[in-house]
Amino acid sequence: MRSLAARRWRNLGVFALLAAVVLALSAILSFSIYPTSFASGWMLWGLILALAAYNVRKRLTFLPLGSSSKWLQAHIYGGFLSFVLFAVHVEFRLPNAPFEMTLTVLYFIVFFSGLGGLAISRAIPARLTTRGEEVLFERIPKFTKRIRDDVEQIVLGCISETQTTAIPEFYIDRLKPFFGGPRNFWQHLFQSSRPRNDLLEEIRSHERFLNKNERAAVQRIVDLICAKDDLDHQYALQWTLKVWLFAHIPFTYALIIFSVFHLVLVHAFAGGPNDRPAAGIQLS
Amino acid sequence: MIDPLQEFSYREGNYERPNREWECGWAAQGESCHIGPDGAGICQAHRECIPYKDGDRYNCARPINFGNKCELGPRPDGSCSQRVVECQPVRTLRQKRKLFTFTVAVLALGCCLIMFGGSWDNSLISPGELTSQHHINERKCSECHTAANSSFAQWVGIAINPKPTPGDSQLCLKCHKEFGSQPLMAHGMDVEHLKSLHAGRPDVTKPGKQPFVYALLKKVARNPLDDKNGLACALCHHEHRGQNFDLTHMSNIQCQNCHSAQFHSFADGHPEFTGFPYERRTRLYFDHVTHYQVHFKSFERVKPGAVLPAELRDYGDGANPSAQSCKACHQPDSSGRMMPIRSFEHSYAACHGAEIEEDAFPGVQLLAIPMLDSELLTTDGAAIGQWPLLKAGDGPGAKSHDLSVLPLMEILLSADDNCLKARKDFLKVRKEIQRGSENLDELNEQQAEAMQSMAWGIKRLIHKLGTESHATNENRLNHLNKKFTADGDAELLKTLSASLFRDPTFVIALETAQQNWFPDLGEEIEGLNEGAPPAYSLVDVEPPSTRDDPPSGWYTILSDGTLRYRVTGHSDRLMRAVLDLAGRVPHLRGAAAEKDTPQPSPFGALGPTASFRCLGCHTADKQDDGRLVINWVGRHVSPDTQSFTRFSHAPHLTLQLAKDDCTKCHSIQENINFAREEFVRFREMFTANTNPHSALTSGFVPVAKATCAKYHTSRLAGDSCLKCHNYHIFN
Repeated sequence: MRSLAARRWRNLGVFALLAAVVLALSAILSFSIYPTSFASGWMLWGLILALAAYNVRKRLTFLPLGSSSKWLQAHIYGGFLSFVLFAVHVEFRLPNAPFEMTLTVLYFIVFFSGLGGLAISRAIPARLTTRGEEVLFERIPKFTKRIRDDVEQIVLGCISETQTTAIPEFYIDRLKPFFGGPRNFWQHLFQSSRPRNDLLEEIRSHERFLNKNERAAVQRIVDLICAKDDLDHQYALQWTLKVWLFAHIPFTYALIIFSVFHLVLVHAFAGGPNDRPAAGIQLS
Repeated sequence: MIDPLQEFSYREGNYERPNREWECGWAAQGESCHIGPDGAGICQAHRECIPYKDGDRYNCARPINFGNKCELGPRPDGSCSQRVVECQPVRTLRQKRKLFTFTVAVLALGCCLIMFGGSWDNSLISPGELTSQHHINERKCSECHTAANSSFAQWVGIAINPKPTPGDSQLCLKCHKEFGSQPLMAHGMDVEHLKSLHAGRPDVTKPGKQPFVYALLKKVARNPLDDKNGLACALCHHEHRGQNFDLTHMSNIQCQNCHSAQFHSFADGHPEFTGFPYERRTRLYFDHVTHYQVHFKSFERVKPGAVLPAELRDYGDGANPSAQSCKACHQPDSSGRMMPIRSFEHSYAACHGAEIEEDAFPGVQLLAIPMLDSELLTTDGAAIGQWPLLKAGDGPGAKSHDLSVLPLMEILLSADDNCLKARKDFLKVRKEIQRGSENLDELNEQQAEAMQSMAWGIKRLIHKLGTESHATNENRLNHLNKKFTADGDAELLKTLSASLFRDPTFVIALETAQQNWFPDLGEEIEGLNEGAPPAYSLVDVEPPSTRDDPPSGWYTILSDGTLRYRVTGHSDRLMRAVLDLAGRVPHLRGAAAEKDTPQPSPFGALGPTASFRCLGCHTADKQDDGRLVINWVGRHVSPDTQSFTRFSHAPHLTLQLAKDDCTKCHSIQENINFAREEFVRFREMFTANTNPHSALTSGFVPVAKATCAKYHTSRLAGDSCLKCHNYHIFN
């Protein structure tokens, strides 16, 4: 079993080699009289289809098509390679026509969402283990409700046991919205604990006005606030892990559809019988 | 601390399937039911417990993971006693993503169909702005693309199965009509012709010295040359790259894709120039060496009384002409490309203008009657009527039996078919005489008949010219356009007829000649028409006691049988028309069919006056069909023509380097022989050099490649092929 670093270096090496081949081939073809865009376009289109096939592969788990992790690695480095090919294909300039522009924007959405997804999928899982309990995303509302119910039980207990309204009023004013559902999404995403600290600080500032029983109740509430905040943290990170695909996958299909039309268009309007190498390029 | 929230036990929670499409509507509130919705999104909460009957009692059937059996149990009627709160199931996140993906894909497809199928005139699918040259308002795709008129299905067909078709290039040629008959072939030339050009060139690629990039390129891309279909315009000209894109840009390596001889750069590997820019003889004779080294130095001796023009006074030394003296005769044209010779009045007139108008020289003999041997005619009993006894001059009748006819006479005779036939017979006789195969002391029947027919042809012509109106004569001459069919011939005939018959000096000279040479011409023609041609009788011509030839116009020298013309000045219309048409005479004789046989120059027959005065400077080029075309002007580049090489003087003249020193590029030939054969032959034999590729140059050393390569490097002035070469060759 190779180490992660070794695998990463190997994959990077393969990517660098392929990118160098693409750039070298592009440079050589640029010396020819033929436009390089046909060769680079076909290569890019094939690569995009291969990258999109990863999504299909995940559905066809029963077929022996190699492990998903290998597919993912190929998908990642293939994505980088596609950017090199894309740059070569558009000749390192941005198009200025509606159709070509749309195609470019779609490619950029897919590529950069993929890049973002890669960053997210590398950074977030580690962060998920740093705070609180790791819970299933689908169960978070249920656990939130359970915590909210526990807090409400404590608050009700305070009314019956201490006959005071300080804690219930504080709950109504400040804690009920907090326990109502996922909160402080962006702060959790960017690893800010300020909302939690502010809330706890506020509670502690009230402690000196409470009696012993109330302080015990508040301490239990503080524990539940921490648990709820950890759940919010889980929710924010897991939601992000799932939602970036909303940009990556749908626009991949849009990109493929546009590229098929683009392909038809460029061949139909190519300009003549002898304006490109017979089969893209002629390798001997 | 609180207890762990999540416990993995079938009793504690449902198995959260990641691929399920629906979830309980209460899930967001954390109050989802245990069973959840079905695959169609229908709430299944009422199925959590379906009591079953055991004997006469209903029992609760709720599973352990749904909360186990309830305390109340089912009602007596078998219904569940628990309140079932149904929900409106919602889609899971995964299902929402799938739906969003489908929506985006459908939208993308819709967008594409709208873009491709809408009535936008394809403007939405245009790949970019056209270059400024092609950027015209409301330009339609179909003007340049054949596919624009096809349906999307046809586009798909083309994309799947591309077949060679004339394609869009033919549409380009609708506007670009200047590229000749085979515009799509390499360089717009016939394949065989191009190959023949290549065959004549030395192979500059040394074995094993081919640049690496070309060797690599050959492995990757095929040679684009296609002898059958040609090259598509779009191969080199890439449109839709914006208004400022250079459509004609090609790198040096791209240019050499098709070429078999490939090299690194202009400085390294480009073939040496061979005679550039003197691949052909200059159109105007001007011996710079002699002028700079002899004539300008001793101007007073060469041109007594004349003054050297101010611009030429500081002409430099013989080997290094000053730029000022060059500019005295050469000025850039409006495009800045050429340095054409200035007009005669601004360049040569100061030195050579007087020579042309000098009336001390005899006029140019344009019409003459041949001198016939009176003894032979008398012996033979030729029936040609009166014929003058001529004395030898410098004309065609200088020698007895030299039956030459001057070009103008030949042109005029060709108006009459009978004369033309007689002329042909006459030429046959002359050939036999020249070969010396016949003894002219006796004429055979055919020879006598030809000579007789020719004599009558000339007499009939003189009779017509003298008796018929000038309108009739003009009309007859203008109708020669059936015989003179080259471009501009009709115009020349009009100029000739107008200059001849409306000139009173011609009418007078002709009348004088007729009265002295053929006094009874009217009666003789009548007798001829009645079938009784008069017998030969000699007319003794008395020369006038005093010479009364005019300073310009026509006059007659009776003794040598010539009508002469003295020009009115440089660029005389009549003289130009006669010389131009004289150049067509070999073609008239069928010289084209006898290309291999040396033909006498028609200009030589005009004598030294014409040769010296006009053809001393203006050269004549022999065409493939035998015609001789006189170069009345120096080299000029027509915008309708384009050759392989181009050069523009203007940018070079702005450089300090060449601004004041033309010899940087145009250096005078050293050790040149002033008595070069071609000049001597011309001056002594009055024979025009009609070979445009002869060695006659104007005294400059051809420009060497090193001269240009010194500055035309990629770092200095640039060494792009396109700086000096054109791809499209047409004329």
